[in-house]
Amino acid sequence: MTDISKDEWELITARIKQMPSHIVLSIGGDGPFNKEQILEHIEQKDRIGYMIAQMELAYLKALKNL
Amino acid sequence: MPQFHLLITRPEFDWATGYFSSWSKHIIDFAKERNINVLDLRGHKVTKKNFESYLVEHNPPLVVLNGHGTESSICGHKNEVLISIGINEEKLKSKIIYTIACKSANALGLSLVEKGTKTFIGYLDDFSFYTNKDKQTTPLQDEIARPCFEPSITLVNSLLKGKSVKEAASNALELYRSWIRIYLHKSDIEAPYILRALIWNQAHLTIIGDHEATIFDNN
Repeated sequence: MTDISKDEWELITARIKQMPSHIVLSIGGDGPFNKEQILEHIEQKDRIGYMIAQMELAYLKALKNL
Repeated sequence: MPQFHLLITRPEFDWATGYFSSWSKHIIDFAKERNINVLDLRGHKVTKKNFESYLVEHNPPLVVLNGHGTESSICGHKNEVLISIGINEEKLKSKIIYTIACKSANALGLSLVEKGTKTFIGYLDDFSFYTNKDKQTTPLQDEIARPCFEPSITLVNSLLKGKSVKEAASNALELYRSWIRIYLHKSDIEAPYILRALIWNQAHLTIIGDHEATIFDNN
């Protein structure tokens, strides 16, 4: 899995906390996940947590280039 | 003019496959408008036996596989494996395949093309999308999901028009970029999340094999 720093995990958590409650995320065969479930995966740093973190980092990186 | 066949699988056993299936209706309607015979394997009928039977009987030039996947397989109803490395890859020889199944553009896509599949179009990582949790029973009315599914529809419908794989993928990528531009300037609270999924899926769409192939090549 991609190495994600402590600061990046904290940033990702803070950003996910802003997710509206009426939307859910499907990732491949997993989900749907609401905000609370996503935060649990982020907290546990499990496979889903890493996947969501990678999406978040890809998003932040892309924003710089858009 | 020869009769063309489109084989499409639409398992519908969970949240994600329900959305894939519903949004695929736009592909099916478009194909029917163009007098293309749609072989619609849907719901519990998406089994390996039925899938292989349709391939042998109708020899469709284009196969669209909705459902879940892994790096080495693509699945149907309740994740029954339809196609897998080392098992039945030769059944997809000379076909153009498009799949939303996650990660299958890795080992499976490469292996299929090595075994004779003309072109494999898919995703290198998990296809992701946000939805409105209150729209599960009416996915086509879910405007949060729409931007992630429309590029897929455009890609397949471009192939059905006779465009090359390269042109079809280019149309899909342009639509991704268009939705990204739109959502960059939207103030909706969902906008940043839709953008995450769009950027992710756009980055992982890939083509393996013949980029110039069209569905008319073998007919």
